[in-house]
Amino acid sequence: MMERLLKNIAPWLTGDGPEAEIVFSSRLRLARNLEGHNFSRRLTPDLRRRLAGEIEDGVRRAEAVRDPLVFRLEEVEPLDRLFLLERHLISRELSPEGQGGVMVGGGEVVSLMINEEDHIRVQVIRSGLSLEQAWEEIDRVDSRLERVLPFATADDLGYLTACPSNVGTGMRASVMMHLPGLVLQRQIGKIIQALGKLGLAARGLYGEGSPASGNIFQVSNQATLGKSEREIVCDLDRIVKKIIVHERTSRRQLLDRRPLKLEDQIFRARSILGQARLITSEEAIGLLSLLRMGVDLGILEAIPRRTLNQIFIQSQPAHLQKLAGSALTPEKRDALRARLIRERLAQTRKEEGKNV
Amino acid sequence: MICPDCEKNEVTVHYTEIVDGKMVEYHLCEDCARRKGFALTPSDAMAELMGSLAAAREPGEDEGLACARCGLTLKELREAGRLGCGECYRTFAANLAPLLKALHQGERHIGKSPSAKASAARPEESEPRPARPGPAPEVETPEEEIERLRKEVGKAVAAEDYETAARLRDRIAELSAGPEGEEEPG
Repeated sequence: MMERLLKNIAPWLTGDGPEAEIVFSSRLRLARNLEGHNFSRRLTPDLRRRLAGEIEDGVRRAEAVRDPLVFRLEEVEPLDRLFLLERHLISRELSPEGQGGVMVGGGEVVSLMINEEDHIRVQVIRSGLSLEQAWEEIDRVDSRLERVLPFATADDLGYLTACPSNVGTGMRASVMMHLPGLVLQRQIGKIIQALGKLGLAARGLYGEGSPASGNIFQVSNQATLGKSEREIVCDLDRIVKKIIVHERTSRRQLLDRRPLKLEDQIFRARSILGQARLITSEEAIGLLSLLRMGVDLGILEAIPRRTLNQIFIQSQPAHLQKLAGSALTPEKRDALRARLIRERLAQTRKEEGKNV
Repeated sequence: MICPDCEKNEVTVHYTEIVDGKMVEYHLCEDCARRKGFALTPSDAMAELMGSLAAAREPGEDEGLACARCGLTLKELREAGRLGCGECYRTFAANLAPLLKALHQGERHIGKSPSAKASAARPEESEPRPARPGPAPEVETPEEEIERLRKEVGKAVAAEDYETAARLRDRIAELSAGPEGEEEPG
């Protein structure tokens, strides 16, 4: 089953959505709990297992997730769990000890976590900046679920969730952005501070507490109560568009003020990625960020964004090991990662050559 | 920093222990920390926030408070930063109020209406008036009605109830056409 995912290029990785130059993906998630049951952490393992069964059943009856693949973490190898995490299909908090599971819709647009801290967490991921579209999609899924699975709600507080930070709409909207210009121009600190004042948070690649490697940030709403879903989506969309303007300005300034320095960094990144025999994921992610910016600015030959996104996802530890078909030592991983990146880049060069 | 134990995940847990007068530090990822049996309170930021708000309150008589449904105590709530069940929101309403105020941008839910269950009012079962399915708010502008009906169409199509969908579409067309088209008996 995992293999089906490995071969699949998730639609959010195609890199062809609106503003795809700077925005990787838009993601929405809704937290929902079933009426009449304690929240997941307050249930015994047996009850959680039973609840998971009921939810899987309900989701199928509601036809809320198309053609789902079902993974129960108790039956999933640790490596596969990491693989799902790298694909943004599960969170770190979803655990086998908590009888966590995930249903992944065909195409990986819609997925549904079971027994995270809430009974259900529905997620929709889209390529580029397309929050509006993602909202319509997740609203549809949610409405279907609601007909079959009665959710815990209160008139004044809306959807009831395990953590009071999610109560109300239960919705978290987040946009994954590539902001090397703001980082290199040392403007990012100011932006993050300003976001805080606007009720938004900026996090690293893998969510809470993770560092912003590869100049990648996730910007998301904080408040879920007192604002409607559409307001949350519109406000985030508006602010993300402002950040995009700032990022473009910063890149232009870099190019105007220190063109040689910037070119040097970008060409060095290109050379290392094209030649290295061992590369850690940390180093790769940083260099891929520069490579991407080089392509965006027209300093480097065009490499399809789809290819860059794919390299980015596949050079993560669990993806590499899945590709290799076995667990690898860190050094073997670094060797395989280096080879994968070299080959992919050489391939695009060859294709480029043919087109000319 | 990558976890030295599994060499895979990012370090998120920093733990200091005093053993025989010597300080021992651990830097681990969450998975390894769990495996090694370090007690991790699930959430950190939320629990801290709750703790700080709790400290601002007078230590009062509600210390012994517990949820009648799930048994969660106020102490547990403060430690974990998580509620045990839906009923907890009522049990601990007074304790949660300042927190909700600090976290959110209002005190009432104004988003998607959870009670608007599609099965609540099927057009066939209601009055023979055309296209007034679903519980509509008291006062609705034509724009709002169109918006609502569009959603209903989506739901009807999803449920493969094409008859209702067609009827709803007609109503949308009427509304879009202007005031003359309104309330025409079907």
